[in-house]
Amino acid sequence: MCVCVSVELRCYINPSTPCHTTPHCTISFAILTTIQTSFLFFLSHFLIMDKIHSHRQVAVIKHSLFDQGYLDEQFIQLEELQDDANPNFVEEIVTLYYRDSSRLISNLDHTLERNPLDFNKLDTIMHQFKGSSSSIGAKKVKAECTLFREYCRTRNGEGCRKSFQQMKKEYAILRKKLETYFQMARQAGPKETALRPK
Amino acid sequence: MTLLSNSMDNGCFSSPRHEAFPAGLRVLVVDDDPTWLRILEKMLKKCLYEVTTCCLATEALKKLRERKDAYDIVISDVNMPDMDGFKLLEQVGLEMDLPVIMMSVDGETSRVMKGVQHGACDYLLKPIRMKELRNIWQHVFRKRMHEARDFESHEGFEALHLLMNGSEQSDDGNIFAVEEITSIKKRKDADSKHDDKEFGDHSPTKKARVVWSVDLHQKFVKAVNQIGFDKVGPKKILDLMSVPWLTRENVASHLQKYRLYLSRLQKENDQKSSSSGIKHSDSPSKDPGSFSFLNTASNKQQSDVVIDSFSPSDGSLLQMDAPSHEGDLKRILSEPTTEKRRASPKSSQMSLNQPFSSVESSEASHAIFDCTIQTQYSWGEFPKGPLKEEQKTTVQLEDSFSQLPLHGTRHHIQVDQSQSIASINSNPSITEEEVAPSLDTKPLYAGYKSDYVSPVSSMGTAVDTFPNQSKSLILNDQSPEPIFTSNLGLKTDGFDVDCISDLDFYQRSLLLCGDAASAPLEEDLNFFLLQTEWYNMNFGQQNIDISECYDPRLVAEAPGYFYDSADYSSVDQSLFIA
Repeated sequence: MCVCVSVELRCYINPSTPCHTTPHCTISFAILTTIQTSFLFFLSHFLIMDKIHSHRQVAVIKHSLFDQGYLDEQFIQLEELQDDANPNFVEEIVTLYYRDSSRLISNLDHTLERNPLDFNKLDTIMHQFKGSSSSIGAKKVKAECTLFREYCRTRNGEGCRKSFQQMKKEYAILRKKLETYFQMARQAGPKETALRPK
Repeated sequence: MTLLSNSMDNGCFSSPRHEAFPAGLRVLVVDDDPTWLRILEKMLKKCLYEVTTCCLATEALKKLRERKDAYDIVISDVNMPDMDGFKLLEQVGLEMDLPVIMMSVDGETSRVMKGVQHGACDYLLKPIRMKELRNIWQHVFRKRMHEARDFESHEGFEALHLLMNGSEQSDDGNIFAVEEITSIKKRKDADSKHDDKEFGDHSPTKKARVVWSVDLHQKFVKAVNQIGFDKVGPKKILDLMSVPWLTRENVASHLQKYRLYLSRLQKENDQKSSSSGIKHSDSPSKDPGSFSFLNTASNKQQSDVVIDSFSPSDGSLLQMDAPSHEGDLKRILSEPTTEKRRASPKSSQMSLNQPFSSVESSEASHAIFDCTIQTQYSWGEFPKGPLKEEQKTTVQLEDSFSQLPLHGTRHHIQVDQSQSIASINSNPSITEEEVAPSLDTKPLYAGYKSDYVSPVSSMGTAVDTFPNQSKSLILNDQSPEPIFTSNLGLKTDGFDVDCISDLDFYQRSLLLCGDAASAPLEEDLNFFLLQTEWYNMNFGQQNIDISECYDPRLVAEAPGYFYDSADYSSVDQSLFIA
């Protein structure tokens, strides 16, 4: 169609060429061209905008994760480690973290059910959990871990339980947000990593 | 230059890392957290290092022992399920002498200090940044520089100069030179160690790095004791030891290790001090002999602990519960070990011999000691006696092994206790010298006895070679018979794994040194015995009930020395392997 249009246009521009198109054909062709190009223009614009929009969405989610203190610098470090050799490095790490942390949380659950509470054991498990959470930069979760360990140190069973519930909540929220984040990132495409919150 | 080329070709693991240093640095990462393991692996790969990961400390130790020169640096987490990170740190430092970096999410000053005390060259806080990992090569380089310096003071001086001069033009050249020297040294170390095992002969070592042989350590301990633990210092120890090729730095580092060892024993002893059977533990530093030994060997605090363990009721060998014995003995051993490493080896060796002599009196203990002593000798204190001072550490290995067979015989003698005792008692002179009324050692022995049983049996094979020697050693002059309580079932939580691997190592060495049959000096025997005990102690997991060997005489002699040796041997074990 474009070729036709261009041919027509050429004919139109160069009247010397033996063109057998009628003037009104030329005009129609011109209109066609305009429509075509504008169509293409809007189409591409739409697609690009959509992509930008998706990326922006991802960026927004990411920004919120950082601004609200769910993630810290470590997460950015992980992203910087991502490269061609490991294109899904961050997700891989986060998946490892989920696995490890789930195990530790259920371990904590069991240990908190005991009576009397074994504070040393609780502290040990939580120490592990804190270390694990620091690997992806789970800031709020880490803060809750520190609080929990403080309660362990002062042998405050009730404080431990409350802190643990709070920590589980933060963990669940973070996990959900991260899942959304990765989903959007996957949809938006590879350009996503370029949009990084500063 | 053939040396250089040889070193380069030696082993497939030797990568031409010197060409692109620090790229290609071979790092071993140990962490039980799989997430961090993966992250660190990726980070280190980005720094162009060669990474090997482990999630268990025991696995890491195994890897390190498999090929001593396979790694340049170790990064380890502090909190691990199977082994304490600090313990791993100590082991690696003693056995392989590699730089170790600790890491943890806990950055409390006390923890960091503990890490540095145990010999960590750096302590990183999690979360770890890339930039922190980029610079870890400096620790490797620094160590090589030190080694090169040591190398200079020994044979190979020419080679070093040759290398250094040749590469003076560029920094890279220097690095290469250092690396080459180190690799040469390491290769020679490895070779000579192997050779030593075969021949059991002390040959003048050409290694740059000081290997703390049994003799050397004995001298060290002796010097430490002479000076008095309170006033001990590397310079004094060095002077007393009068080992020409030993430098102050060698002594200083050995002293530090020895102190660490003693403090560790002390701590463990504290944990086990609940057992009332351990009288020695109750009497803090009542025993001048043992105390002095302890003091010199370790820091004040450590010595206190050690003394506790050592302080057996004067002259009374007590039946020590296995655990308490273990703890004490371990402490003692650890202390001397660290001390040994730092102070002149002579003193340590000497001091160790003393306790051994006293302890060896008891037959039963002999049996047990055999195992431990054997092990311990291998660690670095060759019962061959202080005569072998001039021999470098590589020889040590041989010595230890030769000792081991000797003791092994004794082990065999488990059945024939008298025989073993005889051999052990061969160091009358030693016992009298420094054997202060360190009764403490005796109880320890008792505890360790049982432990020794199993390792001893394993080593029994090589033992047969030295039946005569052991007999000769048995001088029975004062032979305070070591008290061997049957509960050798000292269980050292942390030791089990280590012990087993150590045991394997020793067993292998033992077999290798089958012909290293040199007339063990009495001192050696004693030392050996002590080491065996120590070794047994370390093999706490083996709950072997050994017939108790109670020797009141032993109690009266220098139980403290005995402990020293024992402790020494345990620590030496790792040192020895280095």
